[in-house]
Amino acid sequence: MDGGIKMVSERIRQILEEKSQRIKDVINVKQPDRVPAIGFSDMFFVANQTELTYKDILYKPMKAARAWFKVFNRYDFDIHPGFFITLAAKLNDKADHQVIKYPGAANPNLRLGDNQPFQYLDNEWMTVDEYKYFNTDMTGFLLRELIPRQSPGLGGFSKTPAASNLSLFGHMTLPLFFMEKDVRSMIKRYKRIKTMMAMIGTVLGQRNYNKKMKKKGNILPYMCGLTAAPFDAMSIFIRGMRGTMLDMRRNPEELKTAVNIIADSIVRSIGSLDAMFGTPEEYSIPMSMMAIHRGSDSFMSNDQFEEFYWPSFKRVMEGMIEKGYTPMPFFEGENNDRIPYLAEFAKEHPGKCIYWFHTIDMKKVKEVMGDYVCIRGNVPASLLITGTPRQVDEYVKQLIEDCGEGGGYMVDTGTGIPNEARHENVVAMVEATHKYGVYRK
Amino acid sequence: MDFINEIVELNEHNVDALVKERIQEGEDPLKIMDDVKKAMKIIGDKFSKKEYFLPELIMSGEILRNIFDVLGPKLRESQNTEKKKGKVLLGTVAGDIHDIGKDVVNFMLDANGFDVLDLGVDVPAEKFIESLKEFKPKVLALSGFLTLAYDSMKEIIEKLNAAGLRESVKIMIGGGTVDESIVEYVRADAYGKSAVDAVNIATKWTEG
Repeated sequence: MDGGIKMVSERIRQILEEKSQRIKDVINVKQPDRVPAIGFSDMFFVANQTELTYKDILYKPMKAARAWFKVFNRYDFDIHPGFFITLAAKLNDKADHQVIKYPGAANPNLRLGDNQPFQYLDNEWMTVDEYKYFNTDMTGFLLRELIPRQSPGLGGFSKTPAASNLSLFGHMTLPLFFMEKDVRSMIKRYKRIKTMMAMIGTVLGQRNYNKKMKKKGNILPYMCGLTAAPFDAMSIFIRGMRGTMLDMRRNPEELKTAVNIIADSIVRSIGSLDAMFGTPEEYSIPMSMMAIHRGSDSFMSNDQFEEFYWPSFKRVMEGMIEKGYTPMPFFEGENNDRIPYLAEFAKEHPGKCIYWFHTIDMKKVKEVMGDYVCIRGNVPASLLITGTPRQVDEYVKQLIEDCGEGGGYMVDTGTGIPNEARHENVVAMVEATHKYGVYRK
Repeated sequence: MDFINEIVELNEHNVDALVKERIQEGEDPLKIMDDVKKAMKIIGDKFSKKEYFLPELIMSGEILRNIFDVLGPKLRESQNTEKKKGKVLLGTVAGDIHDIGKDVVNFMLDANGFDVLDLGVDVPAEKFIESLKEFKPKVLALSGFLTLAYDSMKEIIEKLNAAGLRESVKIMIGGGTVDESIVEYVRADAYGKSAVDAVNIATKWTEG
């Protein structure tokens, strides 16, 4: 916490207090004075609202942070979008990171147009034969094999010495590691260029943004403990979709072991990435976002979810709760079939999570688990892009009727403010929340 | 062991052994393929009924590939020239490289007897128009996961209009953030929430 207390006026302080209380209430499933309106944004909405290109957003973090302020300070959210850059393009360039295609990438094979959003490439980065290695020495595998494959610029890690030797020869093997030719050139690569500045630029941009927003009475999320569900970590970043889906039939035990190892590792390292999101400002609301992808209805059956996805996902959420974090799974896609599982977890951990939904029967969610968990969502992207303010108003009104009773509900989009959203529709979403969301005492 | 049943139950080793056995016995590969098609239809039906999901579809794709490896690529060609239910041109629209949903639609249409031409991902409007002229499908299926897909779909349909081709084809859309409201925005004919919807819509359009 900084000395920000003196920097904000009494009036602003009051606004911050009110918003913060409102949000704490809904997370605790209590009735606040009004339903809060939350803003979470896709990365490139800001570009479309200013003169910046998508490429600028990824390559010019300080400029992007200023644009973020200009764009989002226009809306009266209860939690504003954080300055949330998941991809520092210069660092990707340096590492020659092969997993994402993005605008302006130095590698022509990964380069997208200046106004195209970045997209992940699904690939089988680890072969099925490598489960044995992964499941007995995950860290060794990731350092020596996966990182050099996915990021050739970090290829020096292939020379990482065996940890088991460290107690005996550590004083020799570790210095030797830094003398390896590949390792030296890797370090040089990072020394020469301004990559670290690029990273620092993101953090500095974020700090400036956070301070300016607070002065205006705007609360931000503190994205601590950001992670993926272990199955998704395996499926999206390691074995690929085809790989994991075949493993579910051919090598189910290896897959389950791997996913559990990932879960343990996530739980142990919760908090390790928090610096990426800057120091939390006073009044920022801690939320641990986990995007849930391949556990959704269209990917697997309930039986498969129960066997392969749910145990490790649950374990990570429990680990977060134990460490005082608020898990906020974002359920992308349709998740109606999963309602019973999510309800059961909510009942076991009342007031401890935020469930953010994309496509689901919100009314049913409210009925089944509304007394135990704060629910968030789900104004559709299509409506914010192609609809009218009046349609948005009607949609939000209905959502509040379906989900607002007794508190525990936040109005938000289903997938973040989409890049192509119309400004007046975002305004309509916020105004409708203020209009229909007030609770009578 | 029943060959069709072994495929449907996804017992890859048994299927492998049975294919080899039938070939050794001198059976006509086309007859084997008839059984494979029946099995794929059943797998597709199980997917429609939510008995099977993505892992099963991917596994059956693997089994199919292994069968083709044994029977030879010529069979694949003979399959494609057979009379089918109707032609569907499919692709993920410009700017978007997502393929999972599109591939499931392809599988389901194929299993249900459609002749599908899949143009892949990030397909520019011009490519759709060019292929439409050559392939002459009854149905155009546009897929997109990202919100940018709305405008890419709109562009394709506007260009089809300009080229005087819009009336020659029925257009269905689907994927990630696409929903019913986008049909009007892009001026398509229908929205499908799932691959099962895609089969039902295409069936309706090609039977009529």
